[in-house]
Amino acid sequence: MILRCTVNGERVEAEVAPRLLLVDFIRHALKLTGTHVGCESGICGSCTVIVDRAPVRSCLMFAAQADGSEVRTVESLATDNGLSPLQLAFSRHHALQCGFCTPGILMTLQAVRERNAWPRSEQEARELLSGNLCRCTGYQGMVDAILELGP
Amino acid sequence: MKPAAFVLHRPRDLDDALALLTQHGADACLIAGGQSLVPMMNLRLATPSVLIDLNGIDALTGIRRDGDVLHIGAGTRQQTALESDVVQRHAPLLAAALRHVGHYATRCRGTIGGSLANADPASELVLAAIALRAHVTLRDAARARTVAASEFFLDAMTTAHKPGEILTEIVVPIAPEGTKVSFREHARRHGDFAIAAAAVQLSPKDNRLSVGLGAISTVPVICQRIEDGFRTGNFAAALDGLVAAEITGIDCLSDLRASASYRGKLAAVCLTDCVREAIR
Repeated sequence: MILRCTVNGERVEAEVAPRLLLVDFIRHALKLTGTHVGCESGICGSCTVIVDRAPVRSCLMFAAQADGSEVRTVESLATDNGLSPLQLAFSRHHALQCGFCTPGILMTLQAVRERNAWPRSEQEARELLSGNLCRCTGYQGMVDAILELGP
Repeated sequence: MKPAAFVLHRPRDLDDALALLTQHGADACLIAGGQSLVPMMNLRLATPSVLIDLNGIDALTGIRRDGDVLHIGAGTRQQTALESDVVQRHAPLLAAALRHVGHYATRCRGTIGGSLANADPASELVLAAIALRAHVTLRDAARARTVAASEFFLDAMTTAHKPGEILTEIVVPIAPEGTKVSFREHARRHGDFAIAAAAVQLSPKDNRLSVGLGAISTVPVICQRIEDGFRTGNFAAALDGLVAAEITGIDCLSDLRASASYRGKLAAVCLTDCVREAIR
């Protein structure tokens, strides 16, 4: 099938097999390896990217389903002027350690920020983070980063 | 961990989707949000040879009030329904249930109809639909039919959906002014599958309590004894006995998360707390 979409603002056109997962298209065809693959069953959230303003598990979407969509990956966050405010807050609060889960968490939070659904309390921050597994940090640094940036 | 090969169709309207479904018969599988189906495909527990993607069909989305009911299109994203002022105002129990469905990102992709059609025993939406006496509309190439939630959910992952049909909407009765609701569930962590869940709606206007209990049996149940007991005197004192009687009558599930015995005990606490919160 022909897939036409934009990824991080650039037009992409490719021939894809229907069974190709969006995450594999992003990593293997586009070589954007910032998006990580964890569980491939929608549990860990590592592969979360933004598709048409919504945070989406890219392991639970076929590349062909992104036809006509605007896709953004973690590579879109930093600009020539440096890291994004969200990335800087993560850095300040040591909200990552090994970094495997970080791209998925950053993209989830980026989408939530743009959708004006930013957590207003520690409990809301923890509820939001419950969709992404982190085995290093214990989440405290992320909660602190979220609360510092909000609302 | 990659899905088996299949042919993907992306119809733009419902008639095309129904025609494809008729054409491919049992080989075809419908996909909406894919938050349950795609994990099954990645694990090759599901290997459909034809996938009909409903995401491009605008007619399946939308929320509208029609008299004393709310029509919610099957393709409406769970997060969209949760954030809807209309749903929060007119179907507050549904909104309360939606907060417990998966996680923010899976709710942004997962649909109302997909969750109902999947009929997982732990589904919050199935529980809310049963407690609220909602209906679902199913369409095939020839006609549409409406089925009560109590008759639609037959068993774990099994519904009265027939081959060739697409679930197009859920129809929920509007909550009367002054309605109070409570939705509680116990899961190992937020967003995980519920071990026990309860949904209660109190409508003071018609002095009616609606009570559903989910995740502990193959299909959520209506707690008729509690609903009836609410209309009699001294309800608060009788509640513990009514809850115990409800749990005794249920064949509780036993799985990796909880044994049947533990589930029953947890459900009793969950149900009691939920009723107390609604009638407080």
